[in-house]
Amino acid sequence: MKRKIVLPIFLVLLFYLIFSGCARRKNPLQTTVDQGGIFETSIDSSFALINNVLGDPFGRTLLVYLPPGYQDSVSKKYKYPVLILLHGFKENGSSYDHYYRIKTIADQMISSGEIQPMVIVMPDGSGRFGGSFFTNSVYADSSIFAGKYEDYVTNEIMHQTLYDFGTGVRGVNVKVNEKESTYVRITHPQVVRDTVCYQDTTRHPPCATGDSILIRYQNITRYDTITVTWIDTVTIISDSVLFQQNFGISGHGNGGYGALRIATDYPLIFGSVSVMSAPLDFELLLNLVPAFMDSNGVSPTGQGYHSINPDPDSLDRLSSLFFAMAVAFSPHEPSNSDLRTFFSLTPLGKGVDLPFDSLGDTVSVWRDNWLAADLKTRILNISSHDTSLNHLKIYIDCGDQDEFGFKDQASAFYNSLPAVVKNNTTLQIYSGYPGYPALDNSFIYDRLREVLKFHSDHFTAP
Amino acid sequence: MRFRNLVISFFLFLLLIYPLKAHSSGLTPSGVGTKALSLGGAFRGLADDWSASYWNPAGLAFQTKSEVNFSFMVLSPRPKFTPDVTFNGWGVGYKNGTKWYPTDRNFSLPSFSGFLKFPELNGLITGLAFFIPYRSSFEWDLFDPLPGYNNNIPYPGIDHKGDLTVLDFHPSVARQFMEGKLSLGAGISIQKGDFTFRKVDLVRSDFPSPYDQLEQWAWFPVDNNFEGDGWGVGANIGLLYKASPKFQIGVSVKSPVTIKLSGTRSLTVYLPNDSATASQIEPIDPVAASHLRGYTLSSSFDSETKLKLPADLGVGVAIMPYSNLTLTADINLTTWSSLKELKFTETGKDPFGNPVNYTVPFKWKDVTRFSLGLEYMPDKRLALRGGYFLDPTAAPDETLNPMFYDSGEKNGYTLGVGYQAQSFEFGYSYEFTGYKEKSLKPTEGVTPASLINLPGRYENGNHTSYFTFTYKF
Repeated sequence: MKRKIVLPIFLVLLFYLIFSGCARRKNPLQTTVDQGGIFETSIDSSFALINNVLGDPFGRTLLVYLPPGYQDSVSKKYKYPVLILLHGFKENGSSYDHYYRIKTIADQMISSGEIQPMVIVMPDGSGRFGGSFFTNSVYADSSIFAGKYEDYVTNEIMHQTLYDFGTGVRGVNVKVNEKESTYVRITHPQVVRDTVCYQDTTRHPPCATGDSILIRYQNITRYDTITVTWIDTVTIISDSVLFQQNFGISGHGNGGYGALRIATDYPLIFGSVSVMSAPLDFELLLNLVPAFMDSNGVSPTGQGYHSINPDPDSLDRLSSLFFAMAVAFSPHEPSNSDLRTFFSLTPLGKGVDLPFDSLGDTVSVWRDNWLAADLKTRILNISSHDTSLNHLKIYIDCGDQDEFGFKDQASAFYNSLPAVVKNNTTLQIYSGYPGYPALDNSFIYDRLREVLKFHSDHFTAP
Repeated sequence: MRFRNLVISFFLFLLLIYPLKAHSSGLTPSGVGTKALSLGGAFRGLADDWSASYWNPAGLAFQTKSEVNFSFMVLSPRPKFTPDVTFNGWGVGYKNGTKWYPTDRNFSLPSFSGFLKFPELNGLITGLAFFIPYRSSFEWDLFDPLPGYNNNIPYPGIDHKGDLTVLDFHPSVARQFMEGKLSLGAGISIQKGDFTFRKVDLVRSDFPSPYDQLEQWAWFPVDNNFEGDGWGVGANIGLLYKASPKFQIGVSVKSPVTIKLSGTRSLTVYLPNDSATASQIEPIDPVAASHLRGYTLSSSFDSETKLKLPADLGVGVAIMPYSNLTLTADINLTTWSSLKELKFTETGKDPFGNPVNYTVPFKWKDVTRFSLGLEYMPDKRLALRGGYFLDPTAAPDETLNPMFYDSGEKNGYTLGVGYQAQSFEFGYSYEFTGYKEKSLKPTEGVTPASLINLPGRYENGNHTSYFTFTYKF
């Protein structure tokens, strides 16, 4: 009797154990990633870049990342925050798409909920000498030298972004033609001075469908004319907080400089700025002058200085960087007869001044132009009563083996920030690993994730 | 009184051997034979069925009849691996942070034996057994090139694989001495090995600056695949002493076996594709530019290596306090330190034209296994069995990887049943082996090119079922 009970129980237990371990397991399925898209458009004729003396193109492509769901939301009220992403030295507007796979990163992070959906605008600020630093390269009389890249970004790109991609400030309801707008194109007075509606050459407020709108920008003498469509008109909104909560700017290298410069020049628009491996303290850049001299064969007595060929194809990266900065910050004034630091860049003899002479000593261009553009110097010169940057959230990173000394520059800049701004600033110095050090272009793919997260956290919640 | 002494002796023996801990695993199933496995592998001191040819050939001498046997093991490993293959926190393409399973398979391992008993020759018995002493197979999809690598040809789905099968053709002979109190046995292991080893090697790309800084192109993934087979010969000997009807002790030794593997190793580099950048690099470095065209570079060559399988030394006791109760305990040392490395002898070139010189370090350690078993017979036909073993890992952290999954100390729990019907015997055993979880951190200073182990979280549990049919005549 006892055996009749024990044996069946034993066998049932055994067979359970036999089969419990045999089922095939499924590996985690690939996470479904909602797909956004990269949209390519162009500014056929930039009024900020036209007639630049270097002959760089004034028609530029513009890549815009549109998040998953964007197409479905165009006719709805939902609008997206905007991140302007400026490329690095010797790169162009497509680099974030081509090399750093911004779409892959953003799609994945949006799908996983790590960041909120955002529009990412990637302007082209490339130039013949490697990079524009997204600054206005102008003569003393404000006439164009290499191009007004800061105006190009803040006026033309900003406005076109708002216009063509319908990005705007969330939470804004504007009444147009007595009806609450379902979709409003808006802009900021720092970008656009005014808009005027015309119909049959007659000024015709309020705007109506079929009207033409004349847009007058703040910093450039450009007048765009668009036609009012079913989606209403352009509305200028001065509520900067709304913009600051929805606009961020970021950049790497020369774009990092540009991003921080633009953010500090346009504090009413931008609420967050991120900077990856960028020159933030030009005084420390002077430490690289001996290396510049060595790599170009300049003797300690200065021989060979004027033989340097500024053509970027004949220079190493450091030398290219110095000449690109000279293009951005120190065009040689045609009236200036002092040619000690002059290098011609065009057949017509237009060129730039380096900030140091053949012996490596700084010259007046250094003080008058470079230090005036140096972000650390500009920060140090901010009046203690100036609170315009107090709202700004800043992220700065740099690899610990950056070959241009950007790490020390980032630290110096960080330490120069006013206390309130410093409290809003994150500084990250990261290391690579043996065989793959953290240089200025390393790990951008990974750093972009940090950057997107940073801006997403500081955009207003959807 | 005698019984009490025996029990005390038994537990003293346990106390003596426990601090040694122990084991044997590495690449092995827990052993062969349903009865032996049911007893947790504590069988050297009992060794009273055909599987004695594996555990202790001296036990064969006490078989009362000739027999043939067919056995069938189903091995179901259930490993999990969560990679953390990072370098100072940076990934290079391993699918980190997600728990992955290998391609789940149930391995069917047959074994056969036939022994002839010659009672007139002092219990001489001889015969042949065939079993599979080593079987390990894990294939994983753990790697994909980083997003943006943009290889035209997809990287293989199975990118890490370790597969070892060793078949043992095992003639044995044993006979009794000292009027049946002592027996000696010996066997020869003629082993055939099949071995596959596949992994990702990462080679630093050769793009000029600044393209060498782009992390998606920093490393070329190379599919490194060796397949080979070969033969090796070893032997085992054993002694079994029946001190009394209630106590016996066995000692067995297996020699190491070196299997000379001959085969082919192939290397396939999956290159990225970016024609625009290739055009920019072309004037500076045409060779590097050619590495941005998205195709693969391959080479394969004859390859030989020696797989040094370990020796094993074991001692076991069996105590029969009652006629229907048997307690067993074993301790055995397996010299896995023999498996220092696989050094490949090759005369080929890698896909970049460099001479090949390849070694896979193992640096395994000797292990000592401790086993306990119990058999209870409610009647003369039915036997109920249970066992336990403790088996440390042979693989050190510095070479641990999921291709040869010996990730941590193992605790094995076994149950079994045997049933006799006239000349037939049926046996079944089930074993669950639980592996201690291990989280292996990335080693500081290691580069993708010098990566040996695969850091991450290792979890495992094995299920083994074993059936045996025996006919005695």
